[in-house]
Amino acid sequence: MSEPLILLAMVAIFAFLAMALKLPIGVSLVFSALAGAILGGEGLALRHLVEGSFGYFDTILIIVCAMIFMKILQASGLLDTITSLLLKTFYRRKFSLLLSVMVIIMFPGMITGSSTCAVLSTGALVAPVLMKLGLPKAKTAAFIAMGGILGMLAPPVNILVMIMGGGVDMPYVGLTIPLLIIVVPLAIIISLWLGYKDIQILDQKHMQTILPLSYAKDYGFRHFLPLIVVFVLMAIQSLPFNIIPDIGIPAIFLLGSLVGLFCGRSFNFFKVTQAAIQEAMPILCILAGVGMFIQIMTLTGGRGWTIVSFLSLPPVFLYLGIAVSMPLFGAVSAYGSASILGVPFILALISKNAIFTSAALSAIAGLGDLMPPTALAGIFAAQVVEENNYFKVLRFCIVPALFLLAMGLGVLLLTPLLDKIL
Amino acid sequence: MKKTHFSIFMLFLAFILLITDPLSPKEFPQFKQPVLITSAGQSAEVQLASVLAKRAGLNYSLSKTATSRDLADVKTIALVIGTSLKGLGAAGLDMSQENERVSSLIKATQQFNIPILCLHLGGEQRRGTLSDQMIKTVLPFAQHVIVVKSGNKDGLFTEICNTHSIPLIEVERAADALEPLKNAFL
Amino acid sequence: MLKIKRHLIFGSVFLLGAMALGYFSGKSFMSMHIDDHIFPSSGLTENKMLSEYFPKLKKTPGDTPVFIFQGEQPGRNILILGGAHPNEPAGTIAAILLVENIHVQAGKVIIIPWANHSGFTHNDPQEGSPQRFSIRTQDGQRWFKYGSRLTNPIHQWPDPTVYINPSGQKLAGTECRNLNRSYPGRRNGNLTEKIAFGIMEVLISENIDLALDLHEAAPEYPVINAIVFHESSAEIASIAFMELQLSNLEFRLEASPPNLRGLSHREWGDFAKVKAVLLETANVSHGRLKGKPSASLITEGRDKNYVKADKLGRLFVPFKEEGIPLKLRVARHLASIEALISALQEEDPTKIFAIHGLPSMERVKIEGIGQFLAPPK
Repeated sequence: MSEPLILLAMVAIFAFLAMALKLPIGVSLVFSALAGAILGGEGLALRHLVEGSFGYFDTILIIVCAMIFMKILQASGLLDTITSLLLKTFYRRKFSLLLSVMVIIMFPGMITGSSTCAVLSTGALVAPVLMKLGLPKAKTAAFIAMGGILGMLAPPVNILVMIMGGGVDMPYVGLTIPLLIIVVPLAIIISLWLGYKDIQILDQKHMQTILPLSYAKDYGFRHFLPLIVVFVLMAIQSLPFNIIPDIGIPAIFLLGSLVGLFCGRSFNFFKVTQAAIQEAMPILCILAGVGMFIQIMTLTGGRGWTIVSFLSLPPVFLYLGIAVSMPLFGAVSAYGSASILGVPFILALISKNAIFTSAALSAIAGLGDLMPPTALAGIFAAQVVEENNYFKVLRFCIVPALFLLAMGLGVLLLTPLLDKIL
Repeated sequence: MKKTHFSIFMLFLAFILLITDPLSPKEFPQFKQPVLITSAGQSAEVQLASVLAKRAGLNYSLSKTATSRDLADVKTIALVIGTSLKGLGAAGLDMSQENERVSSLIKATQQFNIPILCLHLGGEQRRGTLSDQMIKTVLPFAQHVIVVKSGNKDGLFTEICNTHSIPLIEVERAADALEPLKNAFL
Repeated sequence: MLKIKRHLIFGSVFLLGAMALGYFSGKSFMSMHIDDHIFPSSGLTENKMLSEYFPKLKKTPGDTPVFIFQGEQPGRNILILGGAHPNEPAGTIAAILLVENIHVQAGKVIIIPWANHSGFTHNDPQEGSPQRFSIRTQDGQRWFKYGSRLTNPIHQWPDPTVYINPSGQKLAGTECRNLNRSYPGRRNGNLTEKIAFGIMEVLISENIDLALDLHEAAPEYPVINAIVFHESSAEIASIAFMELQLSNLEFRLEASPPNLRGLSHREWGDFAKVKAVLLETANVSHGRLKGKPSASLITEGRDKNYVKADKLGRLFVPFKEEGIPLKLRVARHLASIEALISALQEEDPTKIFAIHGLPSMERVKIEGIGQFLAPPK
């Protein structure tokens, strides 16, 4: 069986299992990977299935721990307190509300380079505020998802560029300005596009009626400790020198969660963590499944075939290929897209300034975090607002995603000009 | 009589051959020492030129990022063409800074009447958009060009040298550039 | 009640399935923790461990054999490193070939074939790499592990979000497990940094003059078939380059960029003051465009995707139907080593160095690698 045929069969089996038999996405991915291995003459390829799923081991841990953290913020009452504080501050000013909320969402993404971190930490904090001020559920999720992606792209830490840079020996230096050129205008445009029409300006009376209970007075400074611990530890990691050993993002979230136990309303820790894991389980299962699928796709030659097919596009269509393939491949995760496609594309554009090229490609790859089935930014944003149908959220992400795509392609095309100006 | 005619004819023939022989070293310009070797594009071939100059026994100095200030007492500039992004990064330069440096260096050599010997030693691997741009800018100012053959597969060097009547020598490999380099300083 | 029972049955079956998967795949993963055999030539004078140079590596998965070939007369000291990236087998095999063949009369050769020993104990997820490949010797097959570019996360985990290497360069977090980004190492750093530190100790304490780091690169990567040199070795690299051209071997000569920190060709030169050179050959098996990964892809180096990419002008090295087999890549490394050693001699003939048994490029190309490897015992 030829390589593209095996790949086609894997996709067909996946679609059949997920759509016709209505099996969970993760399980469908596992079985389609297994079928691919058998069709490719690799037998059960158990080692490959396990190895592939371990590609997302760190991501899985981050998600589990971030989910626990979010649930604990809710349970301890801190989420209500923050909502109340933000509402009191911003209820009269639409423009500054939208922009500050966008920056707040982006912040954890900026220092961790992960959209999931942003969505599940500050995204969860601001979601109630946006909804209480009139932004519909799905739009709020789209707002948070886009904020998470922009945070992931924004300096100082853009892991996507680092991954591509690692592939072409480009040091992670001089990226602040190119990344800001991409992110700042988009952060303004997207927050206004999604929020300006729906967000209501309230009078104080009305605001008071929707204000949730704040626990700030009951617990004082201690109440905010979980957030402080998480942000300080994250910020320390992004400093250019080592103060304390890096314990990793999962451990940071866990530490924040443990602190949360003593900083607000009392709650049953085990029940909360159980709920968190239960909510995260489908996406964890998808990630493990995607890992297996990719490993078998590589093992049977499908991955190489796909990449070479995109690189075979005539030069005029190369940009089209980038615009289509990088977000699509992001279904595997934006990081995967940056590594597998970003590096060959950056090499195909080698005559241009690699700093601008990689910044622009990272913007396009970042869109991958909206692409189902993984949609690491989108699905969690939907979970944060308790929207079960991700596609409702995705609908509102389409225009902002096109802005981001246009910006990425624009920078890519204008690289020679930008190179001269800056 | 016939013999005299024949002799005159032979002498005439020899004279014609002498002035038209494209390989006669006499036709190539002669350069004086000391020579300053510098890069145009920061590719590592500048190091090759330096080794060749050492082997040729030339009185030379190497400055990859030479400027007009380095021209005191210099009688010849050897410009080694080839653009390398890695090399540019190593020198802490970007393409436009390098273009500017090379252009102002060429300007200064014209001002002080210092002849330029151009070398392209990287072959086919050291061609491409960035290197070609540099070749087109620099080559017209050269008095003499030595190029590794595979780098001139498309005839770019031949074309520019013909247009500007610059003598060009093609060699098979970088190491073969030693003889023409020696001859240029006889 | 029935529902609970069904859950119980499903749960038990699922658990048993997971245990079986864990057992069988675990067995396969554990097999990677057993070292391959190396059969040194009779010229070997001492077999040390890296931990003898840096005791903190003792009893860690980063400890690795160091083969020393001391000549009777003193002279030039040369270090050859293979397996800094265990998924670049030409470097490892060239180093093993040297260990199994050379005799040094004057000077000293130190060879570390599995520089990142931990990297040989696993494969990169989602790359679908084979665990091993084999080479036919005069009497039977020898098997060699094909590892990962990075240290095994079992041995060093978790990765930071951003890795700031010992030279202050910011890199993606996973690079903290990349030996060739971790120089000059840290005495109290992570395992990879400790390995790097140990190698620096070898360079310094053994008074190394010339240090060679053997690598491979994917054909779509610009620094390929390359001699990357620290400025202190510019002259010998240039001489070797010309020498290799005379043998019809095309190379790229690349200067080590001072702003790309943590790499051997930069930090060995800067910190240990040795002439540092990194060599790259072209290997499709760890390229992104590769077709079906297999042991024969590693040894035969034939891949139709790369033939297509070459036609599209996407590669930095010519790639035809016949591919770039391992024996050719190893032969290129051997030829480069020979050329660099002779350039070192040319640069300063007063210091002597004499070696024999170095398999020639031509013979390896014609007779194959297996002719120069001891049969499995």
